[in-house]
Amino acid sequence: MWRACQSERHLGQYYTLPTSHLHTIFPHGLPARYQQQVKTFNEGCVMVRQPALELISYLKAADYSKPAVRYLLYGLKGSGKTMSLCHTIHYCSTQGWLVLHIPDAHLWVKNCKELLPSSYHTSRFDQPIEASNWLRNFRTTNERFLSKIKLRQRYTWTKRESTEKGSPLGELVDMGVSRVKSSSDVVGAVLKELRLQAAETEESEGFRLAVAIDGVNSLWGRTTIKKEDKSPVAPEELTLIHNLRKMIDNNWCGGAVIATLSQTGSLYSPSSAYLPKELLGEEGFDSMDPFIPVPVSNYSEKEFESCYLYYLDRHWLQHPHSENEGKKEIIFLSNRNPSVLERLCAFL
Amino acid sequence: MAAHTLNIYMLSLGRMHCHIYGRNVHKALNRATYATALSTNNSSPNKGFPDRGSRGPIIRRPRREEGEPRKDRMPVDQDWTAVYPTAAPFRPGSVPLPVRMGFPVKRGVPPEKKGNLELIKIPNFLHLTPTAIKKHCEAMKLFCTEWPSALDTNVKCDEHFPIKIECKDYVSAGTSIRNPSARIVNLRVKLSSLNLDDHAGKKMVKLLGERYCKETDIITIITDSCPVRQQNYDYAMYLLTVLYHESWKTEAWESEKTVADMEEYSWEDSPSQKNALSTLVRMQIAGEVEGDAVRDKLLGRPEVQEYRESVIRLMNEGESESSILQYREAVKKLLKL
Repeated sequence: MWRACQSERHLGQYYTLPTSHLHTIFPHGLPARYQQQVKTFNEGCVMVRQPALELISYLKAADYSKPAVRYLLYGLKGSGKTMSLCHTIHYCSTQGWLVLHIPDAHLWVKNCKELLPSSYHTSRFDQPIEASNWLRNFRTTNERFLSKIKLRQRYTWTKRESTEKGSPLGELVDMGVSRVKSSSDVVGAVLKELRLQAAETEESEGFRLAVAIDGVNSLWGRTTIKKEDKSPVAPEELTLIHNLRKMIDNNWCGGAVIATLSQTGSLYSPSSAYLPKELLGEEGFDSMDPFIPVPVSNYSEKEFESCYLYYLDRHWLQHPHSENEGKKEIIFLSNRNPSVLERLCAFL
Repeated sequence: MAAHTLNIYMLSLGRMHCHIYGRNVHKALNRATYATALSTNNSSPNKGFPDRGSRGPIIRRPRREEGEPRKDRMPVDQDWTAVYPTAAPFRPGSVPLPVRMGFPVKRGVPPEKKGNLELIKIPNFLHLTPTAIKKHCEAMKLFCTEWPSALDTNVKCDEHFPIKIECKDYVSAGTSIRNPSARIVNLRVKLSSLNLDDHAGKKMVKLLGERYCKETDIITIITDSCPVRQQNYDYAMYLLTVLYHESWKTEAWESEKTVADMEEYSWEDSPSQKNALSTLVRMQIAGEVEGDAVRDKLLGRPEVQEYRESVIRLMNEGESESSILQYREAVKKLLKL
C-alpha cells in the first residue's frame, strides 16, 4: 500500500485520509479544530512530517519479540504532537495492528460527574461514563479483531453474570457498553487480555498492539476529582488510570506504546512547560524510563510553504493580499506554529 | 482698639441674625451701625503692614541685590573639591550643569534646576568625585601601614589567609561617636580551604544552608547578635570551629538519609537502573541465566554506561534540548533500534 511507503521524499506533502478510515479509526482521536477543518474541506489531509516519519521508521525496525518500546512525542504547544500521533495510528491500522487509542487521558482525571467505588477493589474508584464511552469507540475502531480474539480467563461480574473463557472479545466489550456500572472493570479486563495475547507470534493468530495515549502526563499528576469528604483523589485510586499504567510498563511484548505529552489539558502545571521531565514528574519519568523522546517542532520553511499552498488551494485564504505581502505577516505573527497559523488563517 | 471693634462687629451680627427670621425692618439701621462700627481708618504710616500702634515700625535691613551665580564665574579647569568639599545639598547656583528634574505637565518639559525642590531632596555625591577621593586617600595614607610585598596576588592571599573578616566603621558629624551598625562582623571562608572529606563536606553544606554559595564556594557568616565587635568576632570564629567539628562526626540518625535528601543524583540503586536492567534482561530472555554475574556483565556494557551518563546529566543539570537528545541516542543504542 502506498501509505506504507512514505519516506523522506514525501516530507512536507499532504496525503488524504480516506473517509471510511476517518470514521472507523478516528471516532474520537482527532483534535477538535482539525475535525472542524475536515468537515469544512470535506476531506482529511495530513501533512507528512519528520517526527511521524521517524516514529514509523522505528516501528518498522523494531523487533516485536522484545519488550514493548515506549515512544514519547514532546514539543511546544500546538506544534503538531497529536496530529503526528494520529498519523502514526493510521499507519499502524493500515498495517493491521490493533490500536488502543486513548484520545485524551486528561479527560479521565478531571470533571468526573459520577464516581463509583470499585466493586473489584475496595479502595479504588470507577468512572462509568468515561469507560463506556471509550469502549464504544474502541469497538468502532477494532471491529475485525473483536470476534477473532478469545478470552483466556473467566470474568465474573456479579453473582449471576460472568463471561466464560473462550468467548470472543466482542462479547466482553458489548457487555461493558451495556452494563455501565462495571464498564471500568471491563476496560481493565480488555487491557489485560490484549496485553497477554499480543505476545503471540503472527502465525498463531497473534497481532501487534499499539497503545496510543495522548496526554500521558496526566497519569502521574494530580486530579481535580474529590471524594465525598472533599479530599482529593490520587490518580492511582482510579481504576482506569491504574490499568493504563500497567499497559505502559514494558513487561509485555509484541507492540509499542506511543504517547504524547500535553500541557493544554494538564492540571497544575505551568503553561511554559513542554519538556518531558517537567511534565511527567519524577514518578512518571521513572515509569516511562527508558523511552525514546521524539521532539516535534514548529513548521520548517518547506512545511510552512506546503501548508500555505494547501490553504490557498482549498480557497481558505480569501484575502487579496494572501499571495505575497500577507505571507510575511503571517510568518511573523505565527512563528510557523501550526495551530496558531490555523487560527490566524481562519479569519482570512 | 482691635478688640473693641471685634465686639461691636459680633453684636451687630447678632442683631442681624435675630432679624432674619422676622422681618427685615431694621435693615437700614443695622447696616448703619455695622458700617460705623468697623471704620478702617488706620493711622499707621506703612501700607500693607500690620498696625503696631505705639511699638513702632518693624526694622528690617534693606534687601541687597543678588550677585552673579557662582556657576557663571567658573573656569573649566577649576578645583571642584573647593566647590563641594563636604556633603552638601544641591545648590543650583553652584552646579554648572543644565539639569532638569520633575514631572512634565502636559506638553511641557521637566522643570529647570532653579528653585527645584526635587533636586535638593535627593542625595547627591558631588563631594565624592574621583579627585576628591584621591585627596581623601592621600590624607589617610599617613595613618596606614605598608601592604606586605610578598602578598601580591589574590591566590597568595587566599592561600596564607583563607579567613577574611570584614567590619565597618562609621563616622558622622553628631553629638555621639558611637554607631550600633559598627558591631557587625562578616566572616568569609572558602569551603575548599577547609580540611573536610566527602561526608563532612555534604554535612557542612546542609548545616550552613543559606550561608553557603554554591557558585563561588564561599561560606559567609554574619554575626550581629552581640553588642560589641570583639564579641561578634569571637562568636563567628566559634561558629566556624563548631561547624567544622560537627560535620566530621557521624550521628546515628544520619543512616536514615533518604533519596530525597541526596544532593546529587546517583544512578546506582535508582529506579532508572532497575528499569534498564530489567528491560535488557527481558530482551535477552532466551539463554542467559539470572544472577549477579549477568547483572554485572550488563552493567559493564558501553551502551549501559552511555545511558547512565545521559540519565545523570538529565537529572543533575535539568532538562534541555541537548540533554534530551543525548538521552534519546543512548536509549536507541540500548534498545538496539
